[in-house]
Amino acid sequence: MPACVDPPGAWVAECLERERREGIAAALCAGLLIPAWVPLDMLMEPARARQFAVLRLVGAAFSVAAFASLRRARTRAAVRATNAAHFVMTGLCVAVMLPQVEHFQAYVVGYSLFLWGAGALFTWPVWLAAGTALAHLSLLSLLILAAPARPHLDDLLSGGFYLVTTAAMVLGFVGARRRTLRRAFQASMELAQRHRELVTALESLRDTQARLVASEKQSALGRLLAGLSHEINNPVNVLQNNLDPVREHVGALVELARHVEGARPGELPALQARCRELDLAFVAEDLADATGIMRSAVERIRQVHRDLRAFIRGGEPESVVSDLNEGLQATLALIGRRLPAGIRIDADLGRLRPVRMQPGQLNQVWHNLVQNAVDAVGAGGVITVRSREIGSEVEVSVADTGPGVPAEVLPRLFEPFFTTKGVGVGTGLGLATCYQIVERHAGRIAVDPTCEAGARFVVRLPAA
Amino acid sequence: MEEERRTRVLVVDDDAPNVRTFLRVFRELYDVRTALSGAEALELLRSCPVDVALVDYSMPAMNGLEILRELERSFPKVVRVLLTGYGDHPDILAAQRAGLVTVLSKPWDRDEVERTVEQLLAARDARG
Repeated sequence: MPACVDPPGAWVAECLERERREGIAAALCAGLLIPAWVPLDMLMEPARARQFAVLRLVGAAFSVAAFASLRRARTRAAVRATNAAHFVMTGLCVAVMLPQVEHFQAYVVGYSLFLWGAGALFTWPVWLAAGTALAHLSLLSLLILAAPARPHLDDLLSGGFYLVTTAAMVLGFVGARRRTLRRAFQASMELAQRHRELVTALESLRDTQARLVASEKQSALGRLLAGLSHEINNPVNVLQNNLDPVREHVGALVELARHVEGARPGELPALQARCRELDLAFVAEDLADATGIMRSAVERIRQVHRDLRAFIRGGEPESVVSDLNEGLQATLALIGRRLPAGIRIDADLGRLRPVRMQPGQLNQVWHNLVQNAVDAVGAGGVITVRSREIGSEVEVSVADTGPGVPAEVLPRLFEPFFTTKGVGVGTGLGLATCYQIVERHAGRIAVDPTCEAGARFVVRLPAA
Repeated sequence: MEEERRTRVLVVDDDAPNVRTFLRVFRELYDVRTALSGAEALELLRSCPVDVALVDYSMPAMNGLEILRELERSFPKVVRVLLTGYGDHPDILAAQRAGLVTVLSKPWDRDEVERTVEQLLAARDARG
């Protein structure tokens, strides 16, 4: 599974990282370059060189402290506070020199370049930072050219020095920003790649899901049909094999009736003898028994048909608003009649508000849950199917007195292909299908964790 | 009246109408005995030996195969026939291949039952 993608969070983290890296670049540049001003001060302001050197070294010390602090800073507030403190303190060191210098223009331009560097660190876009740098350079050139005297060598030296140090700082910032941009680009490429992979995975999952649903339908249908075939086989056998004996009896009786019809008065003893031969009492009893069991066989087939119709009612793709107890009853009737000996199903179906549902699909859920319970309990097992209203929801629970669901199985219970029934017995799709169907009905299915004896599956659906 | 002893057939099925149907169809041909469960069948066999046992597969407690396996152990001379609607069940196919049972599909046909029983009895007699 790909890691969870959180674009807003990632953006905030990336912005913080950018600010931190730019701060570190600036502190590093300042820490290295500020001491380099000391010889320049000695050249341009020899009268105050010592005092200025102290100020430069103090500024460099602030930069080194900022560098160390930024490397450890992890929050936005810490990064911003350190950056701000760094530029205020190093800026102050230069600001106190300004009123005392002789080469005022050069120092002002240098100082403004420094301020530009500080501003560029925070939020300025690159074009604005570059534009400001250009304006400062133009101003520097203009001031030097407009000076009444010809530019002095030390003015040119200081201008060149400012340009070099500023270029170094700009390069540092650009490097930091390029790194940020490259990372952002890589991140977006990775996102696009991951998106493509996810789309492919989703398509293949949908395909697998469709095949799973089809295969579970076949499996559930197979079980259902096997049960139905047994249900119908016995009555069909009764109907098929009683027909001939009944026909023989009826044939003999019809033949006797024909004799009676054409009989002359003197033939009565012969007819009576024929009746005795036939054993009318036995024939009457045998016919009554044969037609009786045939009639009940027909009734059994009709009942199977009725239950089946109620069960598959939701072949209708449209959802309906209806009482889900009807489907529960049909399912229980279907399973109840081929229940292994010694297993009892208790149904406690309460009055329910109607639910929006696809009855056939929900019946599949009830069928799977009850059939699982039947498979789980042995002789003497009891299955309790209960429906009731809880607030705005309808709850159906299927509890059994079987061995229960082992704790290690619980997390995987609704996973497709997970089965404890052994190869060839369970497909491992029954509960996964239940989960899917219940989810499609905006409901929930779970195992009751408080159930101590046996297992209790609980389905909750919103009332319509 | 001395007549040739009729073939004695035991039918085991938990579905009473089926048992009554078998009895009605074969009462003239065979000496039919009936049981509604495996336990009842084994109990009956101890006091009344039979030639053929026709046993339904799908029954609670002991299914048809289990009953016939028990018969093979305790009453090996009895001809074993399984009646079932699940002819393609893997257990049944295996039992058939192992020669444990002969399978007749349900709903059964009178002539087919008669023919099968005759053939199986002839084969048993030939083996001695």
